[in-house]
Amino acid sequence: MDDDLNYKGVSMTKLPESLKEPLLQWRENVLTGDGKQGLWVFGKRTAGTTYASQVIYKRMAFQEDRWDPPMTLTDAKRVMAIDLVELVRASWQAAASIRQYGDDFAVFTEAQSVQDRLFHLFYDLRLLWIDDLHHETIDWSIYRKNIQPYVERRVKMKMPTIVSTSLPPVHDFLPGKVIGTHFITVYVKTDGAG
Amino acid sequence: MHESNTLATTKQAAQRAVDAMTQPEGMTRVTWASVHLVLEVIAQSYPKAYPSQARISERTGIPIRSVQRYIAAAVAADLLVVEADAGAKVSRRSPSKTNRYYVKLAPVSAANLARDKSHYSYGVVPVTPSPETSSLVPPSCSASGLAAPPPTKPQGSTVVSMREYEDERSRDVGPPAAPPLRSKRRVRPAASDIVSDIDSQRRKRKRPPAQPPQARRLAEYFAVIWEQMQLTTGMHKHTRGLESIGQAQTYINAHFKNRTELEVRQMMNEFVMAVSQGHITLKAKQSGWMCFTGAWGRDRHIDTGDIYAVYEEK
Repeated sequence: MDDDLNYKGVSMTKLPESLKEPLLQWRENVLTGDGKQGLWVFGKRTAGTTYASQVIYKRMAFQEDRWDPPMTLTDAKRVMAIDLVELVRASWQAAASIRQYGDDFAVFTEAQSVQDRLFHLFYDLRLLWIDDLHHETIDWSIYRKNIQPYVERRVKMKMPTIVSTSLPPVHDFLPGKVIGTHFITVYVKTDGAG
Repeated sequence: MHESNTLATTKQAAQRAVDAMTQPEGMTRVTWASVHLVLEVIAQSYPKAYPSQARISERTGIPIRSVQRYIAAAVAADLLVVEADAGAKVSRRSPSKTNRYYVKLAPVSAANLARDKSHYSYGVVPVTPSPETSSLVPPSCSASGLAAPPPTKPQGSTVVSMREYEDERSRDVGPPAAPPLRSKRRVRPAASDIVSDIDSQRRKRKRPPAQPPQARRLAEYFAVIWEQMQLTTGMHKHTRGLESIGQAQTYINAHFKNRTELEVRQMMNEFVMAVSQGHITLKAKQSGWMCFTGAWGRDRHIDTGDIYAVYEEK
């Protein structure tokens, strides 16, 4: 266990014990490659889910040598959920453009790049953090149909994934068993910083 | 007579005729490829075979001037007949610019069949009925008024085996064979028969099952509370509440099957209240019912109650 709990500007010492335990458990899972590889950090909008996620994300992302094989910084990425939704919309737009201008190489290239970015996020990245997944602000129907399946596939393929969200793991919006089976759930009660 | 026999009268026959054509002597292979392409386009436009040169050029990708050259080559090779001035005339003096094309059946090569002037292999040809053929196949048996080919081996083709003869027969590209003569006269059905037939079908048709009455009540209830909201708050004046009562009724039957009428009414009340308070925004051209059912997605989700309460207790 790493004793240095203050890492890269975010400190785990500020977190309550109820948060530390599951976060460090997830870290152990990732480093050993066993157990649940997903981390579902949820709470109210200003409760500090981002802070709590950041603590463990930075710890994982900057400790490259702990990974086997060693990780580079480009293998870990934090994306905002709203950007993901926009990316999915962009992919639809690109597909529509291809249907209309099938011969245009620029359109084809653009569509291909959007698809590549999506592919990179869901299949290439060794550590993905989806931040600010607020079910009240983003278009949840798009997220549920087009992003959530890939996130679930990631964790089933043992690829570490963090989701900071306002959604509890048991909700009408979510499939019942997947979150409980493949994610370690962390509830952030108050401000994560304090 | 001869001309009408050698021309394909239907599109299919014309296309088959073009397919069966072989490269004429004296024409290079490259030219023949283009000529064949042009002929295919002409055959495709059958039975109204007057495609303009521009159209042929567009379809084949060959320049117009070359199209003219290839048509001339086809005419010279006796593959095509061009009837000039075939369209409507603009004025009496100037001829029309329309050409009509007739794909001509390819003449039988003398080398192949070891005979010169027998036409038996391609389509129906005029035959002077000899005593024996006329007794077997009278020329009047064809509905198109054309004579059938002689069933016996033609004269001068002693080298040709019967098999070759059959092969050649199978490549026939004349007008389609006449339908067999009807043995029985078709009787037109009387009006009474038709009516009785329709009635029997009508009786078999199933009526859709009657929908339960509470669905209609609920749909009407939604319309009423939506209108009340419009009147009291002045919001969404130009927004429709429902597309139709029937559509809402169907939706309610499909989706609120396991809920009581009271529950659905409460949901409707809650929704209309949230709209009137501005918590829910309707999208452009979205009706109240569409927003309620979430058909176009909703801008905001209403969580009834504290979804974190369970975790707070822990």
